[in-house]
Amino acid sequence: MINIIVALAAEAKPIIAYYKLKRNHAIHAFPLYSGKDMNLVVTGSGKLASAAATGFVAGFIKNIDIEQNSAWLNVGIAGHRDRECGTAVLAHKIIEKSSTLNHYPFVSQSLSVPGVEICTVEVVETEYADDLVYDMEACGFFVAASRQTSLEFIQCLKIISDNHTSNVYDLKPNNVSSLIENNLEIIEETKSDIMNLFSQRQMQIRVPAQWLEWRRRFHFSETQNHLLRNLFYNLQALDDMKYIDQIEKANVKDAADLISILQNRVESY
Amino acid sequence: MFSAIYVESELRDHPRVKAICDKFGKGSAAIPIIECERYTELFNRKAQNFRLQKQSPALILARKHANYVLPAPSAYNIGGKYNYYFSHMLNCLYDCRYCFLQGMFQSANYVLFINYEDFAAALQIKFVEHQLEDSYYFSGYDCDSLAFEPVSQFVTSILKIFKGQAKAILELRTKSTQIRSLLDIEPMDNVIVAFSFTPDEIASRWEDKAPSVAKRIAAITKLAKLGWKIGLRFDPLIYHPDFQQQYENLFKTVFSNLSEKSIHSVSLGLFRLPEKFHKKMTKLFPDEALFVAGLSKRSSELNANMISYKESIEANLFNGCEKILLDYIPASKFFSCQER
Ligand code: SF4
Repeated sequence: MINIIVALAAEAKPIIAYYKLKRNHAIHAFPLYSGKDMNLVVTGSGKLASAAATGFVAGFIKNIDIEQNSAWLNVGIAGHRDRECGTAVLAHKIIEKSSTLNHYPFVSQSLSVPGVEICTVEVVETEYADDLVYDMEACGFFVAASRQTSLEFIQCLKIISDNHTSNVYDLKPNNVSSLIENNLEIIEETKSDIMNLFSQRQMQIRVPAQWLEWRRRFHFSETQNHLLRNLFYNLQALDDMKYIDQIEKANVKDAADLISILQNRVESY
Repeated sequence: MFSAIYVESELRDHPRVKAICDKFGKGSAAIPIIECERYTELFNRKAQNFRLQKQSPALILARKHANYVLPAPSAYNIGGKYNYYFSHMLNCLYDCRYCFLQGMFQSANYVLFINYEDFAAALQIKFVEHQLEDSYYFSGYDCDSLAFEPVSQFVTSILKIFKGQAKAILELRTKSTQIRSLLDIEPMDNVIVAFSFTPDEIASRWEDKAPSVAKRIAAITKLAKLGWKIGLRFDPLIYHPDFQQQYENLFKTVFSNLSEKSIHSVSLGLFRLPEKFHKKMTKLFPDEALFVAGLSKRSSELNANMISYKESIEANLFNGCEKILLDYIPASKFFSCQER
């Protein structure tokens, strides 16, 4: 599952169309759109709004996805003193104007989008004093997403929308949508790259199918559930999943009994 | 080679940093260079996946501020009383599945401490402290001593410090064939180049990216011919029902290529992991048999919270290997220096 976080409805529009996302009318806190393995939320401007919406989506998916795992992509417009409008850039470092804290997104070797330092500001930047890409959300997004998942599954992609010669205040919603629309291929490439790593990890931690069957059979406490999952992993590592199929279901009394049977088996190695 | 190079801001003009950045940060295949304040901002951050990062780690160029030379863990010795270790680097270019670094560090990125002069100064203080007795210094605890040498040139710089210090003995522990820095200079009597080995079957399965056993032996042979003292570290001992045969074959190959005269010392090391590291490693590799088969948690006071082979397996493995080993070397060269 990937969650795309955008600040403006105009930024969201081409992405919603491209991925054929549908509005979830049951959700009122933020406009939320969903499609196959994807959510998109429109947060409103500013790092607080971005952080709040990211946290909100995390809560939303936790209710529907028991694995509680997710990948995150922030897409939006940003300014830079002399980078050409329409250019896509990827955050390699995020700094927050109002603090000394820096953040370092994962650098993926397979992405060719140029990496930049993004400075998240609280009011629109028109001076472009330093050689930085200025935005208003990256930092809020990144901090909130980092609380939900591993660093490798979070990226922040910006499209340059204004610079010294192209005034930010001249931007109309249509221009914003076009900037995003012209970069849909790069958005897709970035999304696929994150999802590629994400799927690798999902494969690595995939629990054998029999785990679910047994979980449905008895009530397991949180601790027992954790233990059971590890025992299934152990048997898988030992290439002994056939043992689980040989267990006479009728002879297993309860969760504790199953755990003890499996523990004995693992310890016999 | 790296996904990115991170440089601590205060080091941006350091000559070693500049040289590395010039080498990798320019041209068509330029690697992104990103400034950071302290390496810990990235390296110690929670919620990173060591296994995924290991596919394309970044290099972090940092300054170490303290603790350059530390007392060595008790299992790290070759008979000496005063044992120290130092790490100019955190993490390794190789990817041995059993490596404890995966359990110890949050990140798989390489950290290279480029203030070699501070390591040298700290070592010289220890040399003075121990001028009347032998003291031992181990390099290669948090990394491989030689694997990164073509880039770091750390060993080249540190060997100069050990020159003429007869009572200070340096062990360079490695699996690497990057031995140019040693081939280019006169062998030093107080330096042991210690190669780690597991049998071929183990190495090819669990020592990803490390040079093959045959290549390591070729490197040793070259060094021995030139007069370098060789250490052999069969560490960690990995159990397999056929371990006797596997280790017999390994010892036979290694010792048929080396004269006894060139061997400084031989040691066997046990496979042991602090429980915390083991837990992290199994999370990274839930499908890895190496972290399950035959292992248990030790309850004795000495080994509390350590995961290792069950006592019977461990004793069988260690004693079996020791017995075979003593057919090839005199007992005086064997160091059974593990806490057991
Ligand atoms: S060579 Fe040593 S330090 Fe490097 S991965 Fe293997 S065990 Fe770890």
